[in-house]
Amino acid sequence: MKRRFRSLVKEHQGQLFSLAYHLLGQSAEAEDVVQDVMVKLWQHLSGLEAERVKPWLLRVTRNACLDLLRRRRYSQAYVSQAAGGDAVVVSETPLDRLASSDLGQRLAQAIRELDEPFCSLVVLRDVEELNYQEIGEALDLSESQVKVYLHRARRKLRKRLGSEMDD
Amino acid sequence: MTEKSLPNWFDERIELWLDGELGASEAALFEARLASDPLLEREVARATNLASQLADLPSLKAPSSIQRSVMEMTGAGWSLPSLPNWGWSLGGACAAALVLMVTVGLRNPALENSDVSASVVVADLPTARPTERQLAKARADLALALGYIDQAGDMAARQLGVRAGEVTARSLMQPHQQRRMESSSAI
Repeated sequence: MKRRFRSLVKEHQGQLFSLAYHLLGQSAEAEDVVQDVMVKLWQHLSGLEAERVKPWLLRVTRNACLDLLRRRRYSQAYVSQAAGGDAVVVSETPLDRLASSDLGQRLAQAIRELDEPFCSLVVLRDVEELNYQEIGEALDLSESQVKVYLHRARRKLRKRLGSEMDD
Repeated sequence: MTEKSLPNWFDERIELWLDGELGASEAALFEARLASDPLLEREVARATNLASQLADLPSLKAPSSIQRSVMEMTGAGWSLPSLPNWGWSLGGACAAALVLMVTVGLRNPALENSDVSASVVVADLPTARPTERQLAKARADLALALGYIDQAGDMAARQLGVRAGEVTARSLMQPHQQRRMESSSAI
């Protein structure tokens, strides 16, 4: 079991970290989430069939990120209120720095601003290149829902970025 | 606004058309419009550019600290076969590993038969050229020793945890339960 666990950690940690990183925009938080998810995997491994592991990991990671984002929004609202209603400044994130161009940075920001499940869909399909079935299993959506929502997500991005997408 | 003049029906199908998800009749209708409508053409160009930008977004690598922390937290890291009489203390294991490192890792064959002190051996180390075989053996011995240290550390931590648990459980017992436990352990 230890060997299987080690192999699963090695195989999936990159994808989970990338998903958490894109959703949260912060490396340290993404790291914490992935660690917690892997510890949960260790606790549940005996009851998980091999083919269910990847969607389970993606789902648990995404849920943990969404929980964290909810808490963050709540605490930001609290801080903002305490500061007399001033807007909370969101600092530049590691992904923003990683994106090679200004447009890439604005795109990363626009993805994070998408509602769920659109944000996760774009990350899993366009960044992580998962297939529709894997995404559907991870997000509890049918394959046709994945396609429809993904097209809507891309359309939202296209509308949001507008003329910035002109060559 | 000119953008509003693009009918929704076409706007909603741009991504579908790019992904080849439109049926034949819808695709024909879309393409006929595309050939004659500069607005639709511009939106298709934007969607194509967006797809290309999305593909360029980096998929990130996980920091190595994740795997290390997870293995520490779960105790699922690499472990050595258990020793026959595993009653080592952490200090003993550390001492053994240090002795092993000094005698195996730092040994210089040229000085093996001389009576120079260890400090001279260490001082001469940069000029000493061990063979590949010696280096390989030293690495293997060092890995083994470090493995024993890890295992001793885990065991010490477990023992501390068990003892802490016993103390806590005992402190929560009623006096008559404590007496009963003491008498049963005496038997």
